[in-house]
Amino acid sequence: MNTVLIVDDSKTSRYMLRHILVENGYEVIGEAENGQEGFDKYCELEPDFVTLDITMPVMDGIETLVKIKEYDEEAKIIMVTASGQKNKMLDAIKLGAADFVTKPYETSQIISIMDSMKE
Amino acid sequence: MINRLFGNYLVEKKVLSQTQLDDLLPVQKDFKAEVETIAVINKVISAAVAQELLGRIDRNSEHFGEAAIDAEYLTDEKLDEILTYQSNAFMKFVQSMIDKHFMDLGQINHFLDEFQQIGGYTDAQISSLIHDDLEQCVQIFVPLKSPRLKEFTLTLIQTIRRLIDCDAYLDKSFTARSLQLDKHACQMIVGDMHMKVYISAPDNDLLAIANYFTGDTYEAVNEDALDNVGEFINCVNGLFATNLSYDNVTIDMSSPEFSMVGPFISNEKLYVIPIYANGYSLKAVLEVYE
Repeated sequence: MNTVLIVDDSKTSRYMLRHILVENGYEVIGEAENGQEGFDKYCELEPDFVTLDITMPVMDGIETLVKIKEYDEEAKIIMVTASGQKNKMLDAIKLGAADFVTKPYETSQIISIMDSMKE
Repeated sequence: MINRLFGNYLVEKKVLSQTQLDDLLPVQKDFKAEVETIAVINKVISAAVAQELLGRIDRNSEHFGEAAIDAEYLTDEKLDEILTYQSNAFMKFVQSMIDKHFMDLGQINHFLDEFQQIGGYTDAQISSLIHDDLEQCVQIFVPLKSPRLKEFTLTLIQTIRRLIDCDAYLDKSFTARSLQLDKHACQMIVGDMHMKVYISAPDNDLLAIANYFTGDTYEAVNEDALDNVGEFINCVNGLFATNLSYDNVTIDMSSPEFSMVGPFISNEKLYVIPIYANGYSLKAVLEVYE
């Protein structure tokens, strides 16, 4: 079973995503509510996928993306954000994000992205 | 949008009870309004003429539309146009009132005219309300000068209808320089626009969002429920940011915040937008900074 780390400062958002992922056969092995905690948990848990919110306290999603990619350039990171601003999305892709989804998203959107990246 | 507003007006006027209104409001899918109802509401023929024609025809063998064409009250083209409104939510609402014998067409038409007059709505505005033209409804209820604030309000009500309550509606907005908020969630927008968006309501009224946004159920508004409302605001602002980005306008959002205790806010530009969803009354407050 593919494992996932969810990094989002909103408890509601983490709950929604966990529910979707578990229902679709993924194992959520960790959750973090800011970028620093997300990075620490990535190093500790080494999940197959990371879902990363952009707007977070302590360390935002873009900074966290950079840190995780520096640590593990093979990391599969999907940006999950409310803001669909083109520039930010393009920045995230240039910095190594595998893909992105914007909230509010349909279950099929995020699952099809993750299914397509399974090994 | 007009169903609840007009329904509330009829309850205020004591021509309809709250129980009757609650009975009328649920959307009826497999149901169509009659031609005479649409013709009268659209002021194509008068209620008196409609009643007179109805008295003349045998409804088992003759259609009102055909009789109205024979009597030259309607043209074929007008009838075709009327038929396109048979599934309109307001026409069905009016038809239900008639079918349930709460009021007749003449009375409804009279109170609709009165509702228009007292509300100060133009014919075009009433038509926008009847046809649920959201963009026009925002113009009517939230007469803001700033096109971006109008666009924000449109995104807000569209998102509420999409994710929270498809029958949600607005009421007339107002400006304030200070305001006591209730329990709320909020989010700051910075960049090419600078404003803070609050959704606030007393008691447990924020359950209107919290209990419908993610499928979670809360018995009362607590911190988790407010986090849920904050995430909803985040989605609205994200969609707004997406729309603005197509015009090369860039905004950023901070993390949503929430509080069980309402602060007293004061600002030169506070816009208060009343919203009704899932039977609760909420306030969206836009605190706009220069």
